[in-house]
Order: sequence, then structure tokens, then C-alpha cells
Amino acid sequence: MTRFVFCTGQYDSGDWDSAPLVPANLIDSVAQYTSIAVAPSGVNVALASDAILDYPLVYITGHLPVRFSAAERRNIRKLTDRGGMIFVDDHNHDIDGVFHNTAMEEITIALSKPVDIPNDHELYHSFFKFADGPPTTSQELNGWGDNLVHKNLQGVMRDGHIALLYSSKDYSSEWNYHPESKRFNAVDNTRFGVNIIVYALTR
Amino acid sequence: MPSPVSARRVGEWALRVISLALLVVILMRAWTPSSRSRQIENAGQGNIAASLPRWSLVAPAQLHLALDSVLPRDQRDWLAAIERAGTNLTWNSAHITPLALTLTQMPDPSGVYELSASAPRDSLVVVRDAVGVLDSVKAGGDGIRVEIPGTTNRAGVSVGGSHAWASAADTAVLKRLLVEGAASWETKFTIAALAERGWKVDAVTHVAPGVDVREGGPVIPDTSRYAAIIAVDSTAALVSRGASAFVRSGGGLITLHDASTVGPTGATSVVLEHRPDGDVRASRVGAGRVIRVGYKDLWRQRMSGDDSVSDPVAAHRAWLARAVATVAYAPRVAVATDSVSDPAPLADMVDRLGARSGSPDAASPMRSEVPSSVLFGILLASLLLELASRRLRGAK
Repeated sequence: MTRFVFCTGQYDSGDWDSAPLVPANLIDSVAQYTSIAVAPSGVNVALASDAILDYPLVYITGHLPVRFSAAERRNIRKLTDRGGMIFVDDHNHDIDGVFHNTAMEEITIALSKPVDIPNDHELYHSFFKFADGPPTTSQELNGWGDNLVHKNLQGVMRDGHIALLYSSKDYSSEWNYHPESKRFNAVDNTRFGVNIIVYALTR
Repeated sequence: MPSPVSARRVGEWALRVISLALLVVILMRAWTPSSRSRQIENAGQGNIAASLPRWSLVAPAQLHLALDSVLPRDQRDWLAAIERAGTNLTWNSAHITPLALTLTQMPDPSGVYELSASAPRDSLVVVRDAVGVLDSVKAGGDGIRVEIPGTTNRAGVSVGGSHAWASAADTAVLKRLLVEGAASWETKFTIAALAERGWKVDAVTHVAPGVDVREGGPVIPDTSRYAAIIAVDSTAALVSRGASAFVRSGGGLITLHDASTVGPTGATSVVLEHRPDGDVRASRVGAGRVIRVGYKDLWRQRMSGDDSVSDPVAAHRAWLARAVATVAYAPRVAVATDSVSDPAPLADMVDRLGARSGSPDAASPMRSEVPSSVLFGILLASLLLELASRRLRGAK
């Protein structure tokens, strides 16, 4: 069986590799909690390359301004039109920050303006149950970034499915640690990452 | 032993009866107008429609038609009636192309029909439906076979001036599909493609031990609910358990690359498709069919396909739909065929009017008919003979 490969999208502008430990951490969680056949390491693939279409779930993050090239926009459209999903996380946790503002502009140009995802969406019970919607992050609770606790994630929908999931909650900081360190957490904070992957694979 | 006189009387009676019969025949001929005008006629294709009423009133003794194409069905019916009324009808043509087609609704919710037509090898066959021309296809040794959209249940083919039309004789009753597999891109995109095609899909996706994502209702393979079941990989335990009975009772089973060991396989199989990375094989098990797909990662056809050639999403969808249509259990319900249906016009014309003949001269010989004047002569002769016989034996 072909294994699920976690893919981080590289874009020419900005710092696409700002959270290098997130893939390993989520791969570890998927292997730990599910029977999904998952590759032990992720891949980094250029958004502008057609090879990105081999990975129907793509993770994008960063701190710096994002400006997609024409090829990157084209592939974002292709990937979502064909049934893939893109997860974009604002590593600044700042809705006035440069990543958020530019990424939102680019997403709107490439696809459409993201809308709030209701907190009873199936994303929040695709594997683990999150009754109150998206789990909070320590960055939110500690007042970093925009000093807000964001109630909703946002998304671009295609035929009732999330084609692009946008988070201002800074899961990239929350999950950017070595998987071995999970043992120090009372509750594994990467569980919502498992939901995102299971949702992408099953809906 | 009868006496010569009594034998002579019998002969005289016979002559009287013959005379009377000839008189009746001559009178009937005189009273039947068509008989007065029976003749040989030749007609070209352009004259037939205008001449039919006249031939119905005054039927020619022999009628020869020189045709450029198969006659319309109403003209074939009309001419068959004239022939049955006594006209010796012959026809020939150097241009008529034999065509015949069938139209079958495929078990596919998109409503596509399969059109199979016979036509001369290498001829260019124009395919059309009630709306207009759909395609043109060069015929091979076994004609053509194309899928056409289900806009109407009527389609036709043309080669040159020859046309044939057919409507589907029945419609397929579509049941649901069952897809089972582990959480993977193959399972996800198989379900998505079939649902996008219009199939109602029950799906079981295994995510973790004891944790499944289920869509739809019960998942017991049964032909009362499912047309086909699809095992995506070796985790398809529900399909595996019921597959054998399901297929033997008429259902269809498709196993994708990682489910090659799931379910029964027929004693013999045929290769439906071949690519460097594997085959697609079909076999029959009991009343049902099994397709084993040897291609790995079908989902890549959808995600990574080259959109400069065709729409990869539509191509992936259509490929899976074709595989399902090949095995699906779909009971048929007869529908009324429309009156313009003419699926094998040349065969129908031969059936009604007989096989073509080379020329009027080569046609089957006319029924011989003795002229009335000869009959009258025989009548007079028999009367004179009867009279002479009576006088010579002294009777009045």
C-alpha cells in the first residue's frame, strides 16, 4: 500500500521552513494513534513544481510576507480543484502581521477569500473530538502575536469539503518540537494535527 | 364399361363447364380496371414517393426500382403491400451501405449509452443523437463501439447517404456501490470519483483499530442493495467476507492493486487493458463478474495527470465508472421504443422487398398470363365442339 507522505510546500518568497519539526511530530502522532500507512519522514516540495500534485495534503507556514508566483498559484488551484487540501498556518499568530495579510491576499487571488469554519465542523471530530472547535495554543493563551484567542479556523470550501484550511492560531509553533518530547505533555497537543490529516484522507 | 354415347355426353358436359369458366374469367378481367392496365414500370429513387399512390390504384405487373439509398420505412411498408397485392417487385442499387446498430444504456448514473454499429471496414461512420452530430469514427473489422452521452435514448449512424437509427430497448436499474479500504489517497479518491460520477456510494474507511469512517447505510454485500463492491486494499474485510456469495449471485467485484487477494477469481480471465505497470483482468464467477486492477496508485491519474491532454479528474472518474459498468449488477426494465427507430434499414428492406436483383431482366419471371383474346378463342372452340358433338349424335 502506498504510504501517506507528509508534504511541506516550498514557496519562493518568505520562510517556508520556519517550523522544521512539525512534519516529524505529526508523522509520529499519525503512526501512534492510527493504522494509516505513513512514511517515516516527510518531504519538502516546491509549490511551483508539478511534483506537488503527488501530495494531496500540503502544509504551508512562515513568518515573512508571502507572494506566490504564477506557477505556485496555478498549482494551488490544480491541487484543490482535483480534490487535494492545503493547510496554511500563520507562524506569527498575528492577524496584523505580514504573513497573515499577504497570505490572505494570495489565497484570495489563487482561490477565494477564506470564510470561518463552524466549530461543529466534522474536522473537529474526524478522529479526536474537539467539542469547542479548534484547540487553543500556548501562543494564544500567553498573549503573543495579536493577543487574541481565535475562535474559528478559516477555509476555502469546494463541494462541501475544505480545500484550503487557514489557521491564525500558530500551530506551527505549538507543534514544532521533537516527537520524543511529547512524553512531557499531559495531553498531546498534536492530536488536532491528526484530525487534519485524517480529514484530508477520508473526506 | 360406359357406352360411347354416355362418354360423349360427359365430354360435352366438360366442354360446357370449360366454356362457362372461361366466360367468367373473361368477364372478371373486363370488370377489373387494373387488369386492363397491368404493365412493367421502372422507377428511380426520386419518383417513388410520388408514384406510390398511383401504383396503389393501378398496380403494375412488374415494378423495378433503381435505388441510391435505403428507402424510408414508410415507403418500404407501402411497397411491401403493393407487392403482396400481386406486383412483381424488384430493386437494385450500387450505392447502398449496409448499416446496423444497437444502443444500450450502460449501468452508469451519468446516463451514457454504448452504441455498437456494424459498417463496412474503413468507412467513416458519423454518430449522432437527436440533438445533432456527436462524432465520426473510422470503422474497424468489427464496426464501431462508442460511448455517447445520455441526452436522449435515441442515436443514429450514417455512412454516406445511408442512415440507421435505434433507441434503447431497456433501461438499467442502478443500485448502490460499496467501497472499502484503509484511509489512503486511493480510498479517498475512489469514493470521490464514483460519487462525483453520480453513484450512491456506501463507504467504509479504516482509520485505526476499531475506528472507521462510514458513509451510507448497511455494508452487507447483497445484490438487493449493491450493484458492485470495490475493495481498495487488503484491509477490506467486510467486502472480503461477503464477496464470494455476492458475486455468485450476480454482483460485481472490483479489486484495486493492493486488494488482489480479496474475493473469488474465475477459472479463466481475459485481459481488458494492459499497461507497463500491470493488467486489468476480468473473469466470471457464478452469475457475477470480477475485475482485478493491476495498476498501482490509480489516484495519481487524477492528481498528477497532464491537463494539457485531457481533464485528469474526469479521466479518472470515467475510467473507474467504466470498470464499474463492466461488472455492475443492473436489472433491466423494458421501455417503449420510438416509432422512428430503424436499426437495420437494409436488412429490413431485404426482409420486406426481397434481395436486390441485378436488373429488371434478371428479375424473377413474371407470372404468365394468357391474353383474354386467346381465352375467348378457346371458349368459342369449346362451344362449337360441344355443339358439333350434340348435332352429330342427333341431339338438339
